[in-house]
Amino acid sequence: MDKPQSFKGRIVTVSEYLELLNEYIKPLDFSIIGEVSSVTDRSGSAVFFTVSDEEEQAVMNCVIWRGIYRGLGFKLEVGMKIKMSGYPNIYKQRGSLSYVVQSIIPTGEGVLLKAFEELKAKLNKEGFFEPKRKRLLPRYITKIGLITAKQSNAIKDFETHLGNFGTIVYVHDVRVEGFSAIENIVEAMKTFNESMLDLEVLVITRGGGSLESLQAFNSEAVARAVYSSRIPVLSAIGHEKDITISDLIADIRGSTPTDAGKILSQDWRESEDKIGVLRKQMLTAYKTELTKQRNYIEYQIEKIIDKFKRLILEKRNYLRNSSSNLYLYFQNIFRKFYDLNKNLESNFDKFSNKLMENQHKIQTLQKVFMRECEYSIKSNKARLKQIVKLLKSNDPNQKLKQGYTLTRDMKGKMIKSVKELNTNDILSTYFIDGEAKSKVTAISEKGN
Amino acid sequence: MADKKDKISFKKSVEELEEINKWFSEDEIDLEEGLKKLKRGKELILTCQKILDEAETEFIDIKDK
Repeated sequence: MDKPQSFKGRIVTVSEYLELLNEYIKPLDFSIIGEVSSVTDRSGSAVFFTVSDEEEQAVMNCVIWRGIYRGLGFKLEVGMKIKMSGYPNIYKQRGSLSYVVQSIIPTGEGVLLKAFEELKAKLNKEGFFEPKRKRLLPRYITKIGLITAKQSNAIKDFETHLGNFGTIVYVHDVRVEGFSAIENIVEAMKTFNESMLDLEVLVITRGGGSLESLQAFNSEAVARAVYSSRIPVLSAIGHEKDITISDLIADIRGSTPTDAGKILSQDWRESEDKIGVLRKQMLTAYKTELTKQRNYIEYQIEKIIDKFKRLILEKRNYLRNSSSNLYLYFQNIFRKFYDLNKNLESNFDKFSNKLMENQHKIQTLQKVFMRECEYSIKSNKARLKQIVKLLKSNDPNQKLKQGYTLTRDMKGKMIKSVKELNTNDILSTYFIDGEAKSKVTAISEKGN
Repeated sequence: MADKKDKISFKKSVEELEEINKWFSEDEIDLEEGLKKLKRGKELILTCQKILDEAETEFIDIKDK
């Protein structure tokens, strides 16, 4: 350090002197380590405490503004080992030197754990960890606000695992440990929340480290900034095993920067596979249905064919039976014909024989008949002669010729007896050569 | 780089694909309608693949510490 300039002989007031002193000592903003030896926490705007060296018995008065103190996330307690940043300042009204603290980091693990548990309990009471207030991230994230140290492995891991899915990542470079970390992170949260970048998620991330190095993410200031973020927050601090207050409050917790990248690209990565799966499922479903329907149609066709086969078989059987019946029927008919024919033949023979026989008989009879006829004609001829002779002898004309006459009344009736006559009857008397009319004048019978 | 329009069409395409797939998982499906949906599905897959193929992630610094 350079030797200060000499002001010997120069006269100033106490106030002027103290102001000059403050101006000179302010740049001596070393970070100081020590152990809290007393704490005066009245309800004023600042908290006063003393930090001392364990060995040298040196004491430093310290003051921290309540606003900053509240953001630390832990309470100062006597015996607590701390590392603090700030600058020296002489309080004019008292003339005492104080270290104006801008940030404190507890350095003992036990103390940090205790502080962690205390803050966790406090915030839990306020409902900071309520699962119902956790927001879901939109699908297919495209705009991210990233709060991390630009020169770190964390950002590289995050980038690698975010992949190439067209995401825009706005990076707000911050210190992730040390005295400025809390302030940086809170400011980044504020900037993103007030920006018009249309961000879908804020990512707070850093790699692993000791509890002390993760202190910013266990501070109340960061906790409240995460809690009140308008944009959903993904917190991925440290290694797998590390869980910070920030992780607990965030809407989504990633175990590491790598994990944060994976979470935010998950939808996109899955979509690549999903599209393949969807395509396959779609095709399979369609093919299955196609096969199903084809099988159904084939089954129907088989059924129809079966039915036809059955029908054909039935018809064939029916035909076979029918033809067999027909055969029997025709056989029967043929047999009958045969028998009939046989009978006919036999009958014809009989008939023919009979006919021959009868013909013979007829011939014989004919001969007999002829002979009989000849004989009869002869005998009748003789008889006829006699009859003719007899007839000739009985011919009235013969009698008339002999002188006999024939008498008829007027009606033509032949009169054979006088008894048929009355007096005055007119009679016709026939002679051989004519007729004569006469009137009965008297009747006399023989014997009388 | 995927712009907002791409994201919307990607999201919608995937959602429509999921819808189509849901339709295909029904017990009875109409083959004619299925063929239409299959064609639509292929179009959507192409759209999504194009978006995925052309996508590039970009890092923009808004503040250095």
